[in-house]
Amino acid sequence: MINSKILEISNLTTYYYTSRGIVRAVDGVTLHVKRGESLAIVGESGSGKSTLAFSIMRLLPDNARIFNGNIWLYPEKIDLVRLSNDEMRKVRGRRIGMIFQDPMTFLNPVMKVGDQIAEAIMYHHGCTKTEARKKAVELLEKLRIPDATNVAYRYPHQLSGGMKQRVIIAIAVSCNPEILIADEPTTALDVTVQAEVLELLRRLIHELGMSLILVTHDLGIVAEICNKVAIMYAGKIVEIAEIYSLYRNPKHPYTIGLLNAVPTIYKSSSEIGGIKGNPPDLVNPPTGCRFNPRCSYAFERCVREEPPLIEVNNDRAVACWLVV
Amino acid sequence: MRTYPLLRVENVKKYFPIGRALFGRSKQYVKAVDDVYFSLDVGGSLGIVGESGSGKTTLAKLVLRLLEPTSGKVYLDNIDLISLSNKEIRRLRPKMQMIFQDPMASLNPRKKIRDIIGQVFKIHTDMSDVEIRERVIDLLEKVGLTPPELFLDRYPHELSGGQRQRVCIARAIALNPKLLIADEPVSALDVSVRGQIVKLLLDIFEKYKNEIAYIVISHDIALIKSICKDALVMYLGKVVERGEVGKIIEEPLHPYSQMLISSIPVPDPEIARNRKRIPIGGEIPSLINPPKGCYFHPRCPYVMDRCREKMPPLIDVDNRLVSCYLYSE
Amino acid sequence: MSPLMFFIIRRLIQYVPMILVVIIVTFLLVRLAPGDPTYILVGEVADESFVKAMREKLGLDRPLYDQFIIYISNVFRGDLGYSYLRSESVAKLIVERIPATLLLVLTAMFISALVGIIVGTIAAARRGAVDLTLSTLSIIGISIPYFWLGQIILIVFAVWLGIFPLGGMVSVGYEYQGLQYFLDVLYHLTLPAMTLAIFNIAFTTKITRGSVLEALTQDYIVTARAKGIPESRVVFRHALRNALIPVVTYTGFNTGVLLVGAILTETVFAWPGMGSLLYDSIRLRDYPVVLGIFNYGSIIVILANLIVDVLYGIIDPRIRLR
Repeated sequence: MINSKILEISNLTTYYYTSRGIVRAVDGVTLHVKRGESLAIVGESGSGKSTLAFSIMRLLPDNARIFNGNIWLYPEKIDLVRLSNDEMRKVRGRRIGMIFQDPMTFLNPVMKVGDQIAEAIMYHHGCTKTEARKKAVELLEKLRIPDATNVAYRYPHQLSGGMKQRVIIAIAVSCNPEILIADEPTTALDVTVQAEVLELLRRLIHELGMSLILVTHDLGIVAEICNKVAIMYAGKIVEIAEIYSLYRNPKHPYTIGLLNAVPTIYKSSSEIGGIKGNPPDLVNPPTGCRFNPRCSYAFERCVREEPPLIEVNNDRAVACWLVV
Repeated sequence: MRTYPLLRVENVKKYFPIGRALFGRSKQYVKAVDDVYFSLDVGGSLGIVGESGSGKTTLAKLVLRLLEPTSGKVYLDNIDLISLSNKEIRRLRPKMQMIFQDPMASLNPRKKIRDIIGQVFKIHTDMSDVEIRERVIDLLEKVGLTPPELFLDRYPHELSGGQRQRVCIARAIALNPKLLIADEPVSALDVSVRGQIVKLLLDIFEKYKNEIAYIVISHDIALIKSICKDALVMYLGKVVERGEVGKIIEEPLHPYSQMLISSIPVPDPEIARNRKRIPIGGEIPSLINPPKGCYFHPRCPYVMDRCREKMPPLIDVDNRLVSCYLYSE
Repeated sequence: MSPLMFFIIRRLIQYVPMILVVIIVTFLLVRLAPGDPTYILVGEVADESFVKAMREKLGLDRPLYDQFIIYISNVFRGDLGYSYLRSESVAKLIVERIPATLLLVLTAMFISALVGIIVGTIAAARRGAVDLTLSTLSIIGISIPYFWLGQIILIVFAVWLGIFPLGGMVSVGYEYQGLQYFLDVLYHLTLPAMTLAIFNIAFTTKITRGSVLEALTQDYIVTARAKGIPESRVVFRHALRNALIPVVTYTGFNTGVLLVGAILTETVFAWPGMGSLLYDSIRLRDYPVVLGIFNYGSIIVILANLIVDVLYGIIDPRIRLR
């Protein structure tokens, strides 16, 4: 089914246990991804977006725990939260792949890049090393890496930033997963390289029929490749919208503020907006709506009561008392 | 009234020797900055745009004489910075300040805010402690850290990213610099906070526009547009285009500028999906063996024979300087 | 020339000065010590005229510079002097003993490296009770004086239980050949090698554990886990490969420690190596031999460090492929 759901997150809560207290990094998040869809999860530092991504993959650090909620993977409707480590390993790489922010540190420095790609293929498809290596080279070619055969024998430190990131992408898509999660995939790259990598991602997800979950703070790249956006603030989803609607008609004050804060070359006025105040403290978040201390439109209900995420119409939801 | 520019950078080059041949002499150089010249008047603002390897940060360090140029000259207020002794440069330091990308790394984690800013006065003036405290409070107010008394005794890790950057700015303007260079001043900050800092910088520049000139370095040309009037586009250590930022964005002349502008993501899906894309070729080449002739020629869609032979000079096109043979004759 | 070769040659050149320093220091030790160096080299002999004659013969009445030239040329010809006590050339005495020591030390090193790395990795990967036990054991292992341990092992296994021989390298009175000889040596090697190894196992375990723990916090481990490969492969192929670098460094440094350990271990087990020779020579004041062993021992340690450096280049591609 073309537009059926492939992943459904239901009331997910992930906490970190730190010396300062419990950090509610993801606090009751509900959203879903359809087959072939590209969903962006947008937020700044402390929004919980990366934690959300790592929760889906169950790759959280030792001091974090999924406290509550479900992550359903379709069509079997398996709850990823409840899987054992062994069962989750079968999902990783094979059904959900992930690419990361810093290609330098996310590649094994003492292993040839070709082998790092072939490894996943070997384990999930059970083929021999030679076969897997051949597939790895094919994949590198598909990702437009020149001289792929030789590059496969190189080590990460011998490659440029853009090439390394392509290796990371190759590793993630090597077993044709249905979902690709990308955690700030271009933040560490130069602008021109970023454009290439984004173009590559766009082509790949189309060719391989993957769904994309793009975690980022950059509303510019979201506009380039995603069709749905979820805005996160302080561990909660504050707005979900289809992409054109979000940019044309943002409803949540945070979304409006964020859009104004992105300097854009096409705006006639060169003013960059900002949002007053500072990022929230996740150990003791503000009462009521978490954005209220920084919101120019806040009124007394906002401080008292937290607004739920309400569907405004099809594919559009906002968590704000102004929009109720 | 000055009749000369506040800052003059003349044919500055910085080559770093690399490699150790078996007998110690190095044969290769990284040409980090290659023959850059520009000048800046009081009240002027210049943006330096480039990606990694463009040499923009090295250039900033050369202007502030934090690095010695391999050749070329830098004049601040008609004083030849290169010829000064270390002692003389140190005395001049309060007049040429830099704000760095990572505010956390720029602040001593063991010192209180009052000492971090106060130290500037202690070193360069002989003001009393009382006077210094007053000045620090005044500065904190200027940068929007109010009430200032609250921040005096805090440590950097107790402040947010935006607040730390404000402290860095306060420290930089403490002794009324003539030149202020901001290297990626907001890249390490959250998106929502960037606007605040940009506004602060603009306020400060406006207030001191008769005394100061500033340079902003960034890979984000849209950011530069909101702060600076003019810009230099750098590629592999060379200036490829220079002119008003708005015009460069609207109509980039140099093929690299065109490629750069078209690569910038635009937060508007209509425009993003419908705009013309310049096909991007290749990677940024190595700085050790730059291509012969025009450095950009291997990736240029308009490459001609001349481009492979000799580096094009900066040609004046309508108040814009472009280093490209497309615009010669 | 491959980059690896280039790398090895560069390292070799760097080590030559080190060897020279060792030789010079040995030379100076004798000449600059208080008292008449002649007695050191010849022994505590009463006969004046003999001493005088020897002094001339050994060139000890010549200026320091001349002595040095003679000394250097001797060393490079392999002549380390003469043991008047034992009426043998020092070089011959030492050389006959080297194989035995090398056998002991290399065996101990091999066992301890293998066991230490595996145990250390397991301790790092499986935190909790397993880790606690192994860590405690390794601290105990480091703290026990090895010569005392050797004697205890000797008493328990050789005297009380009688399953291992009391000492020596071969069984006395038998003339084994070929495989039987080999097995006989192995039989005698077991206890001394165990003694030496235990200390080293403990250290290697501790270092490996720390190093692997650190490697497991790195980002590329997340990528590896995101592939869905088995955890054992993540630990051994990804974490350990990177963690080995400090472990290898330590092993090189440790050769020196093991050689020192060999001194008393060989003595306890009457193993006919350089170590027991050194012990006896010190006891008997046979200084030419002692000095000779210093020289040889230092060179062995330097060579071990050279090998470690080369291994470094092999394990870490970032070092050999700049």
